[in-house]
Amino acid sequence: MIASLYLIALVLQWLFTTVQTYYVEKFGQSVLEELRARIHKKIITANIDFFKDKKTGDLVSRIINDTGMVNDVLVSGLLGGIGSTLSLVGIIGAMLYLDVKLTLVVLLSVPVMVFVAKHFGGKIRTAYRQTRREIARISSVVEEGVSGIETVKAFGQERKVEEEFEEASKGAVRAYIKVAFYMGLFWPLMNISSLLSIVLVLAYGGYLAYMGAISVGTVVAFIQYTQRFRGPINEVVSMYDSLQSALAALERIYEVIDDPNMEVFDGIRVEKLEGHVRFENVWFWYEEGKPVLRNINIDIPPGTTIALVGKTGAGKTTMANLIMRFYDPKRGRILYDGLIGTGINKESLRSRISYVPQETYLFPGSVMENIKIAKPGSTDEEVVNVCRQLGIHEFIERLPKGYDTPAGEAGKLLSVGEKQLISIARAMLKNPDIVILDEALSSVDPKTESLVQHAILKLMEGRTSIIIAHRLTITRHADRIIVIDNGKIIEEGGFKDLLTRRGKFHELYSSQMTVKPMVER
Amino acid sequence: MATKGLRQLRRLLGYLSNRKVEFTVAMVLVILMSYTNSIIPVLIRDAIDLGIVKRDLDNSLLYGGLIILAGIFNGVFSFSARFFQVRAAQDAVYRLRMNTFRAIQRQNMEFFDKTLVGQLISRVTNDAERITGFLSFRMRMLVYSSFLVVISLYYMFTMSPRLAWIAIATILIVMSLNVIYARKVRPIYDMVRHQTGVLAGESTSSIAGIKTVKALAVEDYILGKFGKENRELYRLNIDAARVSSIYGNTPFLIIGLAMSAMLFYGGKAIIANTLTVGELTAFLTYMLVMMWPLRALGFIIGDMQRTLAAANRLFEIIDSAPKTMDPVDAIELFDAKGEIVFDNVWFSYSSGRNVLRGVSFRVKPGEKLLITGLPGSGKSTVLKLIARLYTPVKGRILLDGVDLGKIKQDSLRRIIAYVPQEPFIFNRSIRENISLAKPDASIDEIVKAAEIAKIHDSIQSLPEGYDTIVGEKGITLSGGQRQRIAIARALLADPRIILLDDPVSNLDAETEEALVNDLKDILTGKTAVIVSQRLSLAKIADRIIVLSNGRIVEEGRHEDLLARKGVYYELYRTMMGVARSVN
Repeated sequence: MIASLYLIALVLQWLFTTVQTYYVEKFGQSVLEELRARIHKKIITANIDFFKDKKTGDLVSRIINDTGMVNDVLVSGLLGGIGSTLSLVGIIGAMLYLDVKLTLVVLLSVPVMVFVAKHFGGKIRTAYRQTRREIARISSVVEEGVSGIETVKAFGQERKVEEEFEEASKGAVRAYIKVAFYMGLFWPLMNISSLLSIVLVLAYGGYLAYMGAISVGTVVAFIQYTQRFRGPINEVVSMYDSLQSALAALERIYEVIDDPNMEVFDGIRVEKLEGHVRFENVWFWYEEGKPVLRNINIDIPPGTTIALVGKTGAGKTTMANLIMRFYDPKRGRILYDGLIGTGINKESLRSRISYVPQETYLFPGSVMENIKIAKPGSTDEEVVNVCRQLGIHEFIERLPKGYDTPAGEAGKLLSVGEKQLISIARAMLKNPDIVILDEALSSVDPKTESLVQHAILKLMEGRTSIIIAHRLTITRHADRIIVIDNGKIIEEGGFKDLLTRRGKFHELYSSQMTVKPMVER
Repeated sequence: MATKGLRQLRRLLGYLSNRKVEFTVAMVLVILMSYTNSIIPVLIRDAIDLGIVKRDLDNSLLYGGLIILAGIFNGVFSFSARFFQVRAAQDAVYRLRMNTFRAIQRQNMEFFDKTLVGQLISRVTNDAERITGFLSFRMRMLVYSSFLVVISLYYMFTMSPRLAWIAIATILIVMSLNVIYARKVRPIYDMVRHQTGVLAGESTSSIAGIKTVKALAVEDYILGKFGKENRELYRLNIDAARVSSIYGNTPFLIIGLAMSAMLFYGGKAIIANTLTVGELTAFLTYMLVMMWPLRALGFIIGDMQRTLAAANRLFEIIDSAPKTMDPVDAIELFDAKGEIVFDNVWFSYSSGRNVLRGVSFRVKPGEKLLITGLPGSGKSTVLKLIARLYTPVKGRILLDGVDLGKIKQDSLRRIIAYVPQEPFIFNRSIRENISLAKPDASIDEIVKAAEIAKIHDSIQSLPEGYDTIVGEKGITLSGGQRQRIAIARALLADPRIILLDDPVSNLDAETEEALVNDLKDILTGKTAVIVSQRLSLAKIADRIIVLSNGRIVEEGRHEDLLARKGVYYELYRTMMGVARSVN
């Protein structure tokens, strides 16, 4: 009877722990999923200012590693911690029920175990962290040595890189030996302290049994109980320590989630713009006291093209950033079709503007997917049509796998200028009302150059266009050219106008064009 | 398969040969350790039977003392075994890792063309870690656990064969459960790790491309994609939880059942006087002592294949690398006149298509040669072959009349400096990056090289000037800046031959003009081969070669080529056409 009850209890306990393990883990994982989603969402919807002092790797590590750390404590805390505490309480309760004095004597070994677990546990974890750091160092040496293999070989740097690797590798060896040292002390000491409780039972229990105060059965039971001590105590103590690192990780997560630099998506939504853009007394600075734009006034009528010209740092890109509403003017305002920019919903505004940056960012995936990203849900035909219109269909087809070429491969094959073609296709697919184009600086071969020019002109057709012109050949196609210097407009007018005026534009233009006559000697 | 596995295991263990003594001592200590550990339940038995039951306090204390003594011995054995073994294993892994890395560095460029960086990193970190784990921990656990189980079973049989059979049955069931557990959960954990990488990649790309995301106003789409991968990771984790909640807890049930069976039969036996209370306690203690070693054994056996697979991947890299950099009869060259001859050179990358098809030309000492042509015509490959990053499939390349393959690589590197189109900047200070080929260069020399390469002013404006760390952990440089640092790097080495791959791409017009003008002076007295689509460089070239589809289609001086009105003329016209349409 008792035996079958015991068996039932055993099976029930197994059933319970199995179900408990599963559901606690499931709960932990769903919290984790939510946490990852929240921090990622926060990052993606933060405004541009948020990113200026952040590194991608650090943010990613918060999304992936820190959340994992929190979860480890959450799950093992709920499972291990609570479970261990419960079993400790259960064991001690049962012992107290059997014999109070003997229990108290046995518990003498507990402080020893706690001390060992705490003291060495911490040291082991620190040493482990050191091994992780050394391994990370090994990876970065390999990463560098392999990514730069051409340079390594061309400059005979093999030995130098090998020395770095050797050093990192030796560091890892040292760290591992340190771990082994502390682990080597930790487990035997835990073992001895747990044996100590058995010996205490034998000595004191033996004495009590000798005196006839308790039964042999009690002593035997105590010996069994004391052996189940070690695991839970170790678990509870290590919980305390990982709680510390979990709190640190949680802090790093909330640092991001609570960051005030949020993009605010309020204001009226615009469905369609005519494309009238107007700068009114616009001032802007990134740092107080260092204005980048000073009192800019421009009126861009719908469907016209203006070219912004000026040296690096003159403020051209800032103007594009303001039109995109990555930033808002510090003074003055920008009007879109007569509506004040700050009153328009950013997302709706940006979906009416296509921005073609100088450097095209390719997302993982195929070239096709990279173009489609501009208009999620668009079909392959749409993309192909757009590329045909732009005259770049053949160009993409010539890639190793055409539209299916992976971005990584395409990124390696294509020059900056050629990659910009993908940006232009993205821009076109969006079918925007306003186009901002930051012309790619670096050279492409003559054929691609005319391809890019053709595509740009096609994209600008019938749309309000703002070109940030680095190479001035393209300014010929602008209705108006605005020359900016040091944040101020210093010249403004048509292409021929400005050339005949023989001012700053003429100076810039002729300095660029001199390269050509030189070739003709 | 099995013999292959054995061979790999033997080869892996061969790496321990340097520390044979330490390793052997560790193994002996491990066996002693399993002995001291398995004797403790016997001592407990005696303490109970001879001490407690007989109410003999002296015996209780005596055996208590013996237990502590066994514990202390066990501790000493365990500590020293671990220490010796880890030292031997770490030495082995260290040498294995060094061998692998050296082999990676010795590999030819074809190897790098088809291997991803991430894979190689994973070889020297993850695979090496797995092997570390095996040599330093799992192997010890394997010996310890097997001996522990065997010795424990021996004692159990001496006490009660009947109960011992229960123990054996339990051990077999628990072991096989654990092996199944290990086999089932590992692939899921691998998928979890992979999916974590996918998620990290997803967030990396969305954060690195945040400006594009915002400009396209596709935040929702990006969030959706992340959400999908995030969910997948969740799903995989739940799968893992399902397996581990069942297989992780069931052994406890089995052992619990076995212990109750022992209590049942043992109780009867005690009443029948064929078993003592101490013996039954010893049995129960054995079951507890064996719980963890059984789990370890299951995992080690389940994992064996993966460890050997990891070792195999490292051995493959080591075996596939050329043994030395140079052939035995390679000659040392201290200086060269700088004559380069291509003699009917054919070349194809591993992909198979012929990139160069019978190219022959001669560059006189001190001559400046410009190679031009459309993308894919094989221009850059010519430079890579001269730099000896690749070897021709057919034909010869001669330097001062000597076959390139017969010259020591060290010599070649003193004589030839190569500036690739996308130069690699190391994660070190700018000073170190420039003085790569001449580590003892003075700061004056470095500054001078930087001035000529038109990068000095930009360097000066950086927070710590020449000591600024650039690259991954430091300041990122633009394409043009990297290129100019690489040019400074090449100039500082003061080579006889200089190879420039598109040195003016990524430069704005003004800098391009200035750099081209300066190149003329810099290259005085040196042989230079320059590859470019920018014909502005024609100005400094003595001769021009036009490549098309891997063949030389035109060759000559700028004026002559223009007069010929051929391919060069066409290229020149399209380029000028873009400019002229403006005028």
